[in-house]
Amino acid sequence: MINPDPPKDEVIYIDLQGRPHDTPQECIEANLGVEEAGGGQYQAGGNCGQDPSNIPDNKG
Amino acid sequence: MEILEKIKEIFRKYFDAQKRGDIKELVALYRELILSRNSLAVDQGYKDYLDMQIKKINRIPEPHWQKYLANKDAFATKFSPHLDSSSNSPHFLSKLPELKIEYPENVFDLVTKKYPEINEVRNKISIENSDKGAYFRYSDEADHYSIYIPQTNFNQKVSMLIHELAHVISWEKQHHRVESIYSAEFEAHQIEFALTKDISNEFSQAVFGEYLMGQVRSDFQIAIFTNTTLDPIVTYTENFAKYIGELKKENQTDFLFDKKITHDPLVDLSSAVSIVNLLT
Repeated sequence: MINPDPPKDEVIYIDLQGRPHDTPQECIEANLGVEEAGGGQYQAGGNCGQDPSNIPDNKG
Repeated sequence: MEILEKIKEIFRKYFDAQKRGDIKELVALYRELILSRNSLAVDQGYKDYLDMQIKKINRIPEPHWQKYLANKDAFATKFSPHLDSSSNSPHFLSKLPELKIEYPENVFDLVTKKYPEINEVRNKISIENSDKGAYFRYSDEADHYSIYIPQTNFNQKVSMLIHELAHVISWEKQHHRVESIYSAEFEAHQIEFALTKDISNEFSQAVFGEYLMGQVRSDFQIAIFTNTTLDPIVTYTENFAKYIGELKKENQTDFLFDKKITHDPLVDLSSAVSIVNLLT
């Protein structure tokens, strides 16, 4: 069986749980999701390729 | 973090091997992925990736985790023999006659009968199409719930909407504050199973059946993250047989293409543990 849905390009973003994402936004949201569910503070991190100035300072 | 760079590199090779359908290489890379994810967890102070998922991500209380470990094998034999499953296509709801109800109106009616509090938020809920499974989002600013349901067979859509509405009921009860992923899933399944029983015993059994793949994925990964010397193909095949039935040879490597295993390891864990604990 060939992967029916391979990533569109070679760039892969890895979140704090070691999960791959196609875009930095998905990657950052995945990190946010964990922090929200865990009830902790937002942690910048993972290999999301994010611009530090774009990191939200609250969870909304 | 160095380990994340390593995982990125493994995925580059993994996707390339997927395109080529190179199973031998995929198995080797999958093993590397398991070891790297375990290292990632060890770096954060956990025993392994499973330990990190239990304690940090899902926050499963120890007594619940122990109850699950003690009962999961009994659960597997309790449910699978009663379900009409075909080996590599474990779908149950689509095999039942289509429910004779209006969607979504009658689903709301069914939920309202048992949980009238849903009426208080009914006009704050919209139902949208999804291209990646069922889930809900709540917007604080708009005080609005968006429930996303994929275009799939009718019975499955009904079942998914019931589950997401169960989350809404739980979310409201907890004043928009989730204690943990596990507590949210536990409560949603509890409400969902009470509601699906009201449709019919047959429907309720089929809903349990739909969750068996989550049990297979979870049990397989529990084994593979805690004993990295296990053969992934043999372990996956054994776990599939335990919950569902014999897996045809050509399907024994399907897990190497299953994003819920490669991309979102243990994503079903809270749900799997909740279901076993609620039903045994």
